[in-house]
Amino acid sequence: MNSPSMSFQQRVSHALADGQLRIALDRTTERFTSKRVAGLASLPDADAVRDYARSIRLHTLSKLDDYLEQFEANVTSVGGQVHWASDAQEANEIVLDLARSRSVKRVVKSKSMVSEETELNQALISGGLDVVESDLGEYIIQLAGETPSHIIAPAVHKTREQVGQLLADKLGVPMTDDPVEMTATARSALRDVFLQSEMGISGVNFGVASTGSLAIVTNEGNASLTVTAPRIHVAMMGIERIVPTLDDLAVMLLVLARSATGQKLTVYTDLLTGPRRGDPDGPEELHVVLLDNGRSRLIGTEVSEVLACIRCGACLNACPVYQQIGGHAYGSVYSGPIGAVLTPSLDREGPWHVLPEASSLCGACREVCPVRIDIPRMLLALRAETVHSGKGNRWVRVGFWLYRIAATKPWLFRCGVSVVRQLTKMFFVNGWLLRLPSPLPSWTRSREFPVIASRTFSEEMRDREKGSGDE
Amino acid sequence: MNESRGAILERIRSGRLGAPVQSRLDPPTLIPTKDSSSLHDRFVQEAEAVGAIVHRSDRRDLTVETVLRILGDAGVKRLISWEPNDLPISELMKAVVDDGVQLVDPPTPANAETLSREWTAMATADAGLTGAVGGLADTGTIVLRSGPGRPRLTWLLPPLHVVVLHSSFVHPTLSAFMGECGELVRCSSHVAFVTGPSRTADIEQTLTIGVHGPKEVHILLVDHDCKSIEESEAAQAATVSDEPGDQMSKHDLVQ
Repeated sequence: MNSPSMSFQQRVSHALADGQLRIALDRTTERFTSKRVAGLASLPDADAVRDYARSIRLHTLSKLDDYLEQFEANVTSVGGQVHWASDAQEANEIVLDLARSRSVKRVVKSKSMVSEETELNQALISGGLDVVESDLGEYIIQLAGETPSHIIAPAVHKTREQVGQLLADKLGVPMTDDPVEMTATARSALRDVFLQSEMGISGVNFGVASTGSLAIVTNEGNASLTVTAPRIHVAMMGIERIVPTLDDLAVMLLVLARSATGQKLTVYTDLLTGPRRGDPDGPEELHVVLLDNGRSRLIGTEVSEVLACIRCGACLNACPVYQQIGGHAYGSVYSGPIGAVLTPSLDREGPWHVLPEASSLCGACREVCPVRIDIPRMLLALRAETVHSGKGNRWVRVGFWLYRIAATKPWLFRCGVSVVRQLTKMFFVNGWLLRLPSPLPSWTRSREFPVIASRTFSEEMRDREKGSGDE
Repeated sequence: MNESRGAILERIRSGRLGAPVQSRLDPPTLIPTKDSSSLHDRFVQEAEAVGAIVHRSDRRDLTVETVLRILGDAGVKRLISWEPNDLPISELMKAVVDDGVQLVDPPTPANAETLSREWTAMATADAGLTGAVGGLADTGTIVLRSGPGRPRLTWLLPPLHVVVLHSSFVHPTLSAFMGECGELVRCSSHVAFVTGPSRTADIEQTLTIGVHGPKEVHILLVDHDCKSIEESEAAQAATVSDEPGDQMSKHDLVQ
């Protein structure tokens, strides 16, 4: 995973100061949230279905090795090929080797978070290939030279005015702020790309163990075209995206679409079982790249539940932190609450230990999750791990060390409170502290700190008891 | 590659060590609509809610007439289609051609070099005409499958998609379809569940229709007798064995 150049604090400050980003986030997260509520309401017993979906995911993970072997055997039996990749680099090399050995020059891609994770595009482009993203949002950010800021709406950080300007600059079309016109521009630009590419690369929403089928969903139909027109289809898939049977797949698709966009079913749900078999079109070769990249290590740990995620993006939209700072501030491919768990778990060496702090632990993410992943619990576990490994903030550690000493000796605690009270009196304005001295100024950077009350709770209680005794 | 395979599986196994396999809950009871007339009404209602246009017909000649009217209204000059025998009404294609619409040939798989040129020719088609192997009532979805004589690009490439669906193929839900027609998935390289026209909301969540696939989807929900290729297909699929290895060879035989 790429390491961002700025610190998390700097990225957050940047995001909060970006007026356009605030407009874009306000316009969209709210719309996503209300559509999701309406979508789930159309299920007769949404809660029971979510419980069931969760049990399917956890069951699958609890014998993932068996299901992966079954999946591999079935993909192979219908004429596909399975490639296993331990890390991002190996996955990219597999794809690049396939492209080279088959004289591929042009590649069309449909949205794949796994390929973002491995930075496949850069690898293919450095390998001399033409790579074009076909999802409208991905196409926009590829033109802009950016990375996705939302799992299912990659260009959510851009206003329509910004997109219009981008298309005008890059494609030489007249400037417009009408999404319909912009969409028509992208349609005609991408037509030839689909039909001229020798290789189509897609993500995978679910792999079905019992049949070797790949389920891929899009609303635009870009994945359908990506896996139909080119001669070679390469599907990139995390090893955790397995469902045991077609019946299970039906349940997962039901909750995925509703949680992601509030639709009852995504417009194009394609089930691909092997390459073409005497059909007039469709790929002649099907390759599935199974990516580990830190996933297998999570099985049996406190954060193994994160592998149950079906990438619907509902927790991003529901998160009060994401709503304010957007996806890019996280600095990682996966953003929002699920990204704050997934990123430091997958990449233990990276600078990600601060991400689990970006949460108020309000539980909105757990509330909306279609498979009820307990994200707050895992955020706490990761925070604890950071402290134990000594990577946490030095001042926080010193603070808690002092607090522990004081809190276990009542006389010292009382003493401390009265000293701090005296100290704060020196700085307050109208009952508020506007700026705390070092090392605490970040407390007051965007909020005021109340002055400590003139009397402590224990003092109040003592006086009350005295008062009642007098009566 | 084999090295990674072994290492990945080994890591999963050591992580699993000592942990029991988690049991799954019983599936929640679904209450699918049994009564067929309300099933069809539901299908029409849901398909229209996602922006498809549904036409019902109980006579073969009415179905043909409706297809011709849709193509005529849209000014269709060039059409890509499934082969006559793969359409529910085999005389449909002849009627379309007699009406002055030009048929664009599907690509020939044998000729890989000229393939992209042929597809560019297909891309000039104004409409695609297909049958369907299923409908899903509670989502308004049509189910299509690839195969010889059934190019996938017919339902993906042109701006207009006309699909003829026999009402007996309408299932209450996706789960019901999977339960009854799972074999169709096993023996087709591509099964597509299409719910309304292509759409995107990638620019500020503003709904826009027809980004890559068709802008318009017309579904003919027909009640009359068809030369029902789908039914014979379903019957063939049902006899196919559960063994993936077996299934391939048997599948080749039925073709």
